[in-house]
Amino acid sequence: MKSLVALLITIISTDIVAAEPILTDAFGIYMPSIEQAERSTWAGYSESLSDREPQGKTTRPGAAQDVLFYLGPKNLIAGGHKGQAMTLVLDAVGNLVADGANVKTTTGQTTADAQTKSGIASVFYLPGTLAGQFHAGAAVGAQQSNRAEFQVVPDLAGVVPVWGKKPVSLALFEDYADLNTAPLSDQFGNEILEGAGGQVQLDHGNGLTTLLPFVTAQGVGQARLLTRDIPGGGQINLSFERRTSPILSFEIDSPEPAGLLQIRAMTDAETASTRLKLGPFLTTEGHALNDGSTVQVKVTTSHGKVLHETGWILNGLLEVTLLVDSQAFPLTIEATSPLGSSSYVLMAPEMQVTP
Amino acid sequence: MTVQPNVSGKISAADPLLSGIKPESRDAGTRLLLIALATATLFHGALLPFTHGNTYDAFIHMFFGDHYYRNWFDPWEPRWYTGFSTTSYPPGTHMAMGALRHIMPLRAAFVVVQMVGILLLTVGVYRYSLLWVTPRAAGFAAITLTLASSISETLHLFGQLPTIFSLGVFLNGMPFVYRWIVLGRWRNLAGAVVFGSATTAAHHVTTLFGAVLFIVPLAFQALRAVAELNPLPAKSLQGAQLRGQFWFLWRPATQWRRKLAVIIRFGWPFVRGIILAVGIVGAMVITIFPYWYWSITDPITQVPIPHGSRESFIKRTDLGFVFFLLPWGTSLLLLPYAIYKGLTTRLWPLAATLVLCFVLGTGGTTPIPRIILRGAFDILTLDRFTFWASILILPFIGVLFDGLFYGRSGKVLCLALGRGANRIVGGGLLACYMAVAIFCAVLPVIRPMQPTFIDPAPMVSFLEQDQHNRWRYLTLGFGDQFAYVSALTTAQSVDGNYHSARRLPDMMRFSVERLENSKYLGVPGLGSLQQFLVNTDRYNLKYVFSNDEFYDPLLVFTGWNRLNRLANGVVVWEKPDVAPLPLLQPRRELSNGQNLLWGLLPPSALILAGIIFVSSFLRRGFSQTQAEYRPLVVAQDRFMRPVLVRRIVFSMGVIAVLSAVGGGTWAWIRAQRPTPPDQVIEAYFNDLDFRRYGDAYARLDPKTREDFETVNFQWHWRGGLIASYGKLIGFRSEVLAQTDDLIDWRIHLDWLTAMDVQHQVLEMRGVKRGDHWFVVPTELRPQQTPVRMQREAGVLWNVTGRRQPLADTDLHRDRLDRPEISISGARLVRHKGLYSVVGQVFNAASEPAYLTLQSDLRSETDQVLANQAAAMVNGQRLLPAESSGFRIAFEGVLSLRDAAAAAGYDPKLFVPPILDATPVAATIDARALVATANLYRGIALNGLNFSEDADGLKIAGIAANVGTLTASVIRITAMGYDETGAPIWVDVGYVDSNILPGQTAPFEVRLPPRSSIEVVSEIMSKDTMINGSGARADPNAPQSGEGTVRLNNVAGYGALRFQISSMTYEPEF
Repeated sequence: MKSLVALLITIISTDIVAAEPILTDAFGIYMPSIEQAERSTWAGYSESLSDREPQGKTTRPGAAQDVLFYLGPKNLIAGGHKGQAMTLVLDAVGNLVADGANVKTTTGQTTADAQTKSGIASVFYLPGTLAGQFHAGAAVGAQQSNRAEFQVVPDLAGVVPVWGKKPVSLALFEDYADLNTAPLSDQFGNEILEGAGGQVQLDHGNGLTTLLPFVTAQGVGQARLLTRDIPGGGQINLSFERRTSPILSFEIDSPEPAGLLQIRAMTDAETASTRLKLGPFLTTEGHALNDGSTVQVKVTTSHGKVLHETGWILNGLLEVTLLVDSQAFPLTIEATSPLGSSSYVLMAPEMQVTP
Repeated sequence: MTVQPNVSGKISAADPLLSGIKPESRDAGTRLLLIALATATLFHGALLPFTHGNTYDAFIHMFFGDHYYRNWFDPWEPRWYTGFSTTSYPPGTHMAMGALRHIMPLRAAFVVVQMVGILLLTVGVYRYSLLWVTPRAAGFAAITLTLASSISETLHLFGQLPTIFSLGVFLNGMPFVYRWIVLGRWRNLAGAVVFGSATTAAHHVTTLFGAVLFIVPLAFQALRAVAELNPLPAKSLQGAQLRGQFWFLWRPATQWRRKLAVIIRFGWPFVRGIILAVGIVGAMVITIFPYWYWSITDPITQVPIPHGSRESFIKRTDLGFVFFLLPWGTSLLLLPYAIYKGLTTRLWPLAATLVLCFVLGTGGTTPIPRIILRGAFDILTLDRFTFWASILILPFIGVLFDGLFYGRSGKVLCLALGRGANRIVGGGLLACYMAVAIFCAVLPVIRPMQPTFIDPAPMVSFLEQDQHNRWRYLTLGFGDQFAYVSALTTAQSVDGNYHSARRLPDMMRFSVERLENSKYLGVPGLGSLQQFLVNTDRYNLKYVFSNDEFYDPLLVFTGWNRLNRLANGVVVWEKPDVAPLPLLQPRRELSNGQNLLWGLLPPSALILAGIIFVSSFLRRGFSQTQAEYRPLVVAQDRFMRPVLVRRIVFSMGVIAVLSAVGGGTWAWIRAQRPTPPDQVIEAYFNDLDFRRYGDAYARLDPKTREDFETVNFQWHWRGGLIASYGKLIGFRSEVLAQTDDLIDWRIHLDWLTAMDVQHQVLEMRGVKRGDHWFVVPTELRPQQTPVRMQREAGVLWNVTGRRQPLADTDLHRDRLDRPEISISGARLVRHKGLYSVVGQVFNAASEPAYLTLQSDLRSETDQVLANQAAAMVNGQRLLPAESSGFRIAFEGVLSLRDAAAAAGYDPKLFVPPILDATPVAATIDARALVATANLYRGIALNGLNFSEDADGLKIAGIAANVGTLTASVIRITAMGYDETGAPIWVDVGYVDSNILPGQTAPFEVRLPPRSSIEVVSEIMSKDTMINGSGARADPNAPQSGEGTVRLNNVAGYGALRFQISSMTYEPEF
């Protein structure tokens, strides 16, 4: 603003213009008497305009002082596209150095020389096939840039999903089954980075499918299956990007019933209902069926009325209330649980509660 | 020519009207006014500092006040609605606050100006009443004002500063109006115009309606005074009533001399009235000229905002209570008295206006207000008529109290009921006034209407740190405190709290008052909010301060990341990859002349009115009646029949007792009547919805229910989308089986969530115990987590960014590459008239990617018809090598006007956007940033099954949490491929409840039949931009047969791709 005002005054007062020389350079017109001193140190051609004969002068940039280094992309795919490293070289007052200054660029283990043009030196570099974190920088004579980093990452397109070991072919019922991949690596042997996502697909064979996401950690894809509320085993495979693993067979070890299922009924005269108590649901595993297991009960009354109830096992037992009174006996009861289906006929209520 | 009264300065004892005013009455008027001022100061002054924070409008006025504190002469305010002009509201009170802000905090400035307003109003009511009634009655009117529930409500519930202040100024100008009409004198005209101007400076609506409601009746009173002070010489007309004299003019053309005398007598006052009208209108125009200019040049095209005062108070009794019953308060009981007095005394013009205001204040209860107001009905808030009615009735109430304590009615009561009866009645009435006024003031404490006070300091500090104010912000769940936050910061918000000024098309289309409380308007409100949360680039919106967990799922699944919780409990959310505000923002310029007018005239008018007020007080005082006043003086010798009074009072007492007993008995019988079972089950869910757990527990079968703690545990065990974030908006029960004592229902519940309406189906049972029905308690499924201690190797990321000990704001080396993503198979499709862009996005990078997907709809001439960003049908955050479907839906959102046109409110109804031409193509702009949050992948889908029905493809299954975090809300994105292997539709489903580790919950996703979807065009690579450059086909992107579930042409689909994302934290309720 100050210089602008001065310039305006100068323009308005022609006498002063005549008295003072004006310099022009690539950055504009200025008056040496009011401009900052650094201006005169800028490189390039300057011309002095005054009432005398115009005179020109070329100021050369100084030696390299600041080396600014940029590269990109900062992530390169192993064996993939090249990256570019660019060095901007300036002298002590910020002039771009003269063309032809030699810049030594280091990218990882490789070095390359390039000459500046308009103060900039550029080199392309290939990432190589080894994944990892690399350092880079540039030097002009004794002057060096700050350190820069770049990363060569595995080629995800080259990763083939493979089961690490044969997955648990017989997973326990109502439990977790860990389904891990082998260490996943690309075609160059680079282990996949943490956090890549894939999928495990379990085809139950009856139109039902279970999908499990897996995420890589320490090179291994980790999926976990909760073997509850799923319709048994089936065919299982991995998929990652476009590739899939071979299909394997997978089974869930469902428990078998042990002993007969006990059923008791208690009618409530006040509400004309019947409380059914089924269980314990004994298994061959040496323990009753787990809490929360779903049991579906189908009841047919003596009048032919069919009732459906669904409940969950608690402490090995299932209790449901039916909207039938004692007149509805005998009842035909069909219970379907993870132990399978079984049918019973209950002739009369064990107990009748009156209000 | 001016009419001179036959008295000058002194009250003539011979005057039949004024002779009834005893000297002690005049002194009592002064004393009562002082009592009224003291009451106003003590009552309202003591409450205001504590109550104004709970009001609706106080913070809005503070925001405007803060504007003038920062920029007195620049009316452009960029902090709301991407900028608006404050010339859209008269600035008087706001400038007063802005000036005081230099010496005191903003809230204190508000309290001071509000207190000045109420004191002015007290004096104003006294002075206005003095024009109608005796000084003592006017004093009682002033006291009643300070105890009026309308004032208490306006001050302590609504926080309406300009309404109070402007009416205070206006009423103080009424003596000048009256004197100008009766006496003339230019100084009276000047006073009247200056007060009109000052009123306009504070609130133009008061001047506009005040001229009709307060000045017109006063003009009649003034004409009567003219008649009485200048009796006609002709005997035939002497002593005739004013009406008689006007009638006389219409008689046949005889007695023309006398007619001429009448015309001359009323002609000049009439002319003066016209001059006054011109003067006041001129003052109104000039004082706030920029406001009128703004109104004309930028007319309001806003969809009418619903206001409770326009509803039928019979249908909406709650609104009737707030907007009618409460402001009327005790005065409503005295309305018949006022009408009676109006019919029988000279106060009839006042009574007529009072009745008009009463009728208009009933809102939509009757069609009359709409007939009277026509188009203005949908713009005005009609409760202000009730407010004005509560002021207009005050002279009548003053007369009533005067009579009770000092007059004939008091004597009759004493004779009829014994000594002190008049004091009991009068004191009782005043006590009623006081009780209702206090109730109004403490109502926000009894039933909070605003969120608990939120300390704005942490938010202000956040916005000022790290250049966060380079972006816009939005608040959610702040109520009107949002305005206070805005006032304390220079950061800008897309929202605002003054809907008349908003000019953003996305906001004007919707009948949503504010974005921040949009949940109260269902899907239209949430749809409006969603437009802003999704299209953040358009508004440079980057930060959300949320004080309401209801919005959390919407924020997460529209791509917002939770940053942290501030010290005041407010959660800060951030949207990545949003451009900052440009350095130069568009603004609407006013001429310097208008800016100067706006900055100088309104405060000058107020200052001038203040000077006149003080000089008037010094010259003649304002507590005394003047010679030209013609007040109502009640005759003391009429009606002295104490026996009749006693009979009436006793009869009324008996009726009251009988009514109370009868009503109580009726209520008791009603309460004991057994409730039908369908009402019991509905009430049960309503209780749960409103978190009335005690009431819900009482509806459970007392014989089979567990103790309250156990039942309460079961209710709270399951959180998630419905239990934690849902609001019940629909209930339907279907009887499956029924006996005399048992009933089985299938219950259909519709829950409004931040995303959409969730439908829930439950099977419940009711049981009859004695005569009453109860709900049989449901049981939780006792699922067991397989392991007690779960271990899992996980991945965590850290992006350093600027969190380094360097002052630089941006360094190239700290910037990360944008992850490489690709779009494949994108198409423009049409389904049910709505256009959508569907496609698959794939993360080919080694870093998790946060996605921003936008699309332009284009016409045949390549004109951009609409721009839209992907909302919730979008993976948003993908791990390396993951792919997901996305759908960018070009949807309009149902406005309330559309809903009214459709003769019903359907929260699920969406409307297509308005397009200038038929879309034939679309382009996509996709960007990615490195993502480090909301990447939980612990949810598996067990036992997916696929079926087809009339609605298309139904995907059902069990979601299992196999990870280690609690998944609060789970979104399942399903992309369907058609027979050609290209994406054809993408949709999402949400799991109803949260899932703790090791637990499971069912879910359902639906895709429409393939046959209902029309492919409009394929979107080629050349029409796709990825990370700012042209896209290339990615050979590594998975195809329809890779990583998908294959279907055998179920509902027309060949394969499905799933992507699951979760919100993984527990809300703090």
